[in-house]
Amino acid sequence: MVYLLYSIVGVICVYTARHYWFTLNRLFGFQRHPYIDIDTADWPPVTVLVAAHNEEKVIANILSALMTVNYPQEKMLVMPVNDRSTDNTREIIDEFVEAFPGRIRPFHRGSGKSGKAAALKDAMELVTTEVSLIFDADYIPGAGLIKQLVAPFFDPEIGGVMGRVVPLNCGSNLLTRLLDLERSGGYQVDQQARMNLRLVPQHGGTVAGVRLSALSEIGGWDDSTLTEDTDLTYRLLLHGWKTAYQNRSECYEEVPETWAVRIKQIMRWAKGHNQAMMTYSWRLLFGKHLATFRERIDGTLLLGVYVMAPITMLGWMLALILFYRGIEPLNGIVALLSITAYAAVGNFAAFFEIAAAVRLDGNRNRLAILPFLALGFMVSLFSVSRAAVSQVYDYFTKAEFHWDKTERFRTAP
Amino acid sequence: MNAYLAVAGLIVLAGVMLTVPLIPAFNEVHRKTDAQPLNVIQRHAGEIRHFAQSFFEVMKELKPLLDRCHRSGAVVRGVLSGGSEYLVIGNSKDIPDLVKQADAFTCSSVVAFAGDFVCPGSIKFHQEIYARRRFTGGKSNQYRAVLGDGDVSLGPASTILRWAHSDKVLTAAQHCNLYGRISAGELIRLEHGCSFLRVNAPRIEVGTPAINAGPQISNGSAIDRHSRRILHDGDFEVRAGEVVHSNIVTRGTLIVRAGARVAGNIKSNKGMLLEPGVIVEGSVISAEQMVIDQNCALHGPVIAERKMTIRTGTNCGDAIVPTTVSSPEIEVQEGVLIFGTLWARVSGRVVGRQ
Repeated sequence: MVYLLYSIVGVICVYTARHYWFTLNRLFGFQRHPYIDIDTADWPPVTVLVAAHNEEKVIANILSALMTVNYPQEKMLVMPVNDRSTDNTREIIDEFVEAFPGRIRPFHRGSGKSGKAAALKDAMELVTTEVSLIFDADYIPGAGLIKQLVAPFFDPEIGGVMGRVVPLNCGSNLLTRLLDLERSGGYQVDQQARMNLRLVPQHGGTVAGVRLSALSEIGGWDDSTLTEDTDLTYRLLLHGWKTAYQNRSECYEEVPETWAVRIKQIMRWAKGHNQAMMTYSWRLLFGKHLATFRERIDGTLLLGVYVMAPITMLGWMLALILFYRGIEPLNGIVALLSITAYAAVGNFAAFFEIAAAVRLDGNRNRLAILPFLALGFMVSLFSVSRAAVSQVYDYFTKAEFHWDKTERFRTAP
Repeated sequence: MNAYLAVAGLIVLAGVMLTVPLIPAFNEVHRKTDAQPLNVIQRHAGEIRHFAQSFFEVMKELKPLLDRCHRSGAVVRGVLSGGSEYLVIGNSKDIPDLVKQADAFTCSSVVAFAGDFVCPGSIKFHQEIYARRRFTGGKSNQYRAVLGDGDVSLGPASTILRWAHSDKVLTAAQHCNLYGRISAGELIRLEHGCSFLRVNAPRIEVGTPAINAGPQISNGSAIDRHSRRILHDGDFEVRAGEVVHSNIVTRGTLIVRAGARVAGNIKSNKGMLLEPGVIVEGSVISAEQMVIDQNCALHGPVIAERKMTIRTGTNCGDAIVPTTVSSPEIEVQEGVLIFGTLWARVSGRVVGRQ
């Protein structure tokens, strides 16, 4: 039991060191933005997919924004993927199709498997351009974003591209403010550091792009997964394709405004991520493929972030049990466990990553609410652990995953 | 002391000690002084001409005055609606007296030149300059920003601090220091010893361009070229004169020997050397240093993550399909021709032919 605890503390320390490494790299290291300067080029035709399932509150915003971007009009086709919507999403899309003839080609999906991955898989069959960009319907792209997301594909090693997500409704309440801080740490520091260090930037499935030939090579979208983005990241990696992260390609999104929605969201992410971990971790670490040594290590650690929640809880339980059994050398270990646990759980970055990210973003006063992240941490810890337990239960009972769409809070225009 | 009271006191004290550090947090949650979303709207999307266009809008209010001064040769001072002082000059002979302050020649107003203008040297312009017709700058002038409707020629050893734009031809004579954004509607010429950061024009001539027999290749975007790729886990070499119909990605160094042609995109994760006469129809990307030898012809974007050297006779992009050449450090020999954008994040320099 003692050795198990030692192992847990060891793993947590590895994650903590990783967070420190990322933060220091971001503050003092060489910053890689190799494609951001490509402003003049023979831009290729591109298809912009907008995943939409009951998105009447937000779909008009993104379509309006896409109609005003500075990408050559004749080379950009917008394809709203209306996935079995039962609200007015279809009518709103059709109004835009009429208003902007030839620029929007809707894909109304009336049946089929549920979930974004399944909808994108069907939509991709209609895509003929080498580059496709993917947005969720609640995102609002800026004028230069499309060019910025296409630019990395001039690099023949790049199979996927990921931009930065910035919460638009961050001022709504404490939860949105905490999520804003988490996103800031996760993108401004975590993702960019992985880009700088040539590790494994993660494809986020939105504000993102994919190369058609790479996607074909890896077998297309996998609609059996809950997080198609994580799945895509690893399949690209195993086939020698890189995912580029573009920190300056920012796009607004809407974050959950209620804890119930947030818990549902993070549980889905945890399940999907753990699913990818089960599928790819062994193969990534020990298999014969085209990923580099550092990608193998970082990719495996990235796959393990959500499973660290139940592992940390197990560590706490073990520490308590051993403490009450009077095992002496544990005091230091318990202290180490409590300090480092904060740095290791879930997909959100540790507090120092977040503090560094807020500083890099040029903000100041919002740092004051950092202590409240402990609240978000505890909620995530239990939610992610619960997700892991239910996933094990589902595995033995052969229950199928089901996809829950994240609720929107914006008022329809 | 009553034991219950002591416990209660301890609890209160502990509560206070826990709460006091959180006061700033509660205060920020309540007052929301920093709860705005990060400002990421890319209204101008890094448009190189953004400042020039904004300044042009400001100058529109001086148009009638410029017409008058052009006819009369008069000098008029005034204040723009935004509050900046201006000086409209109709005759170039006037300027030395206008800008002489103590022992130095400096000008703190926005200056608008009504006609063709030959500016004397060693003057510091602390505000923007607008030239409606041809503008010829003297030696060792320092400009904050220059906007020209006609040709703009900067004298030797001149400095641009913010930006410069000519609707036609912008020429920087030897040893100019061009900080910020430099753009032109037709052509930019950079002479020997010029330093630069961001330069954009349909045609950028570095020194006198050599005649490059390289073909114009304009049949589709580099991204659409060849989904097939050679992925090599180590150093890789394309033999002299070889023609490769594929993308090439190497984890090590990539050397393309003289006269080879790659009908695709190339990428190396370490250094890259393109020997003389190489033609690449797609993009050329190196994660470290890149040396492009003489007389190469490159179609797609050219990116080096550390340093780039481009030698005489090389063409990047073409008149039909302009492109981007970018690296933190760029050294360009005279005789190079670039169509589109030349962007050195840290430092760019024009050096002599070898």
